[in-house]
Amino acid sequence: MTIGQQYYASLLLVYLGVDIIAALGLNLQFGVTGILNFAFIVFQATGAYVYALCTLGPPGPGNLLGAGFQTYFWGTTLPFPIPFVVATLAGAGLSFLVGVVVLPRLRGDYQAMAFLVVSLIATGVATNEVHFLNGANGLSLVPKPLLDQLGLDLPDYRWFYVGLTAFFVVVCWLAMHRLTASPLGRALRTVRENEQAALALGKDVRKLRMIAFLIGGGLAGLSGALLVGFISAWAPGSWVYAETFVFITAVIVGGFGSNLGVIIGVLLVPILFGEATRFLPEVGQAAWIDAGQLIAYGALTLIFLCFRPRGVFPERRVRFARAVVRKSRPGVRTRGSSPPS
Amino acid sequence: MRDRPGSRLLVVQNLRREFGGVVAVDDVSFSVPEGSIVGLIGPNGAGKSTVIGMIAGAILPTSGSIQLDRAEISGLSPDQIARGGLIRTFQLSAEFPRLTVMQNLLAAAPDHPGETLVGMALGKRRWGAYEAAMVESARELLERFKMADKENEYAGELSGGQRRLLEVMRAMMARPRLLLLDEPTAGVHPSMIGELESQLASLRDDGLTMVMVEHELGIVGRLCEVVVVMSRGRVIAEGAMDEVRTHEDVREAYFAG
Repeated sequence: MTIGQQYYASLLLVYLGVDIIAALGLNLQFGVTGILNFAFIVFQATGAYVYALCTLGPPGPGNLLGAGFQTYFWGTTLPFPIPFVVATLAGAGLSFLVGVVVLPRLRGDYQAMAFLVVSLIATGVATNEVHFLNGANGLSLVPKPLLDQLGLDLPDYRWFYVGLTAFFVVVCWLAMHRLTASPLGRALRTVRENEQAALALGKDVRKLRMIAFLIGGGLAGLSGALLVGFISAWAPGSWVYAETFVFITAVIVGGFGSNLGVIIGVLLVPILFGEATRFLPEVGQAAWIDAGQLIAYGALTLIFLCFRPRGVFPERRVRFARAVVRKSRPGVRTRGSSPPS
Repeated sequence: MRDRPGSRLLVVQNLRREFGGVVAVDDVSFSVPEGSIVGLIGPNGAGKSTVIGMIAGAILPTSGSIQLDRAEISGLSPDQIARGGLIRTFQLSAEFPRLTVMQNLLAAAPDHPGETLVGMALGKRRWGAYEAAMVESARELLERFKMADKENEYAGELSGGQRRLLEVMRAMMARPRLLLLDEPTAGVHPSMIGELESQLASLRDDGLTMVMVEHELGIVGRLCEVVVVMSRGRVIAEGAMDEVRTHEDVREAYFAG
């Protein structure tokens, strides 16, 4: 591979990993629990900004990274991997604040609208308050994790970063699998399916919603940190409200509620469709590339909701093993109980 | 026996609910002896479902008291009341459509160790045995209600009658002390109604206490020791079915509207 191809391949792989982690988080909130979080991208942005603030160091004239051209309200330098942990906690923490206000009071369409407004407010504040996070220009020169310690040249470092991302993807996937395949995951699904019936069976619906919202927000924060650690810059233009729809499309196309579906959805939506528009012949203005992406996402969502609402790879039908020894039909996967000894 | 205080599992006193200026339920009092089925009957609009809703915590009473085993439960949330052992079914089926029949049943298992964050994180070693036991009792219920072959069907793909049965089974999985049934036979195929009735009778004989809103008076007469008749928000008669059937107010409420 030429340097250029390596550059593009490693970029795509990191994007793929970041998007999978984010989409797993949104899937827990939206696909499994039924919370239509239209502000999802804000929690990714929070992770990205917090990562930047935890690595850039204090703002002011003494800071080579910050002097002169960027202002922000606070900063420090923490060693790897603490900034990733803090960013994850920040995503979950902001989810708690937003969730406490929005989740108990509003339902359905109104809740989705409130999230959309949260997203618009957040973009407005970050864009216009220059001393907060450097306004519309955003933060740049964000240090890459372990760059100095590893001493790799840039192409090799990018492959290291692919591996780091892959590590986080595997950890997140295993955690989400354990959660969604557990009785707790089933309880979250009862909230999605019929809130009144879940309450009538004694489920603490508020708590269950908050659990899904916090964990999803944490994954969003982690994905933001991984992204900014790689591209080193983060500005309000990276997280406008429309970016949330990319993930929502990925969850719907891949398979509502299914972790494996999420991976397929991310491969198809932001990666295949998002990147394919780059290779289209030039027509009209350059701005058509961005607009074309959004049109493609919107069309995909509609097509899937109409013709295949469960997605490419739907939530799997869970079958339970028989305690009595019986011949199980070949090809039928079983999960759940093991026979008592 | 009905009047011995210790034997009354549910005591409803002076229950009242207004919606705007309309009084839907007015001064309703009755009690449910342990181990019996109390029938709540009356013409449409009598306030039966509002009473059920208030007992289950879905509707807040304007005034009055509801005691489950001598503990006041009015004002508690529906999930708190359910965890206290009072489980209700809904007038319109309330299954979880995109979960299988088995998952619907397992979701009702009380105090599941795998439904907490810690329990989930510890994995099957923590909750596998309980889950296996619940799968077994769910299968027994499915056998009992002749729905064993539906175990892996999605609840949303069942017929209307099967959904009702699923809801009763799901309520049973929650191991209730008191079961509130809101029109359990509505939409059930006639061939299954007899089956459902005998199931409810055997549950009663096992000692389960129930309150049942039901339009099929034949079933009420056979199952319920005590019948409470409501009309226009008030209790107009209470007693055995044969007694209330001949009651003048009851005949008027049913036949003169």
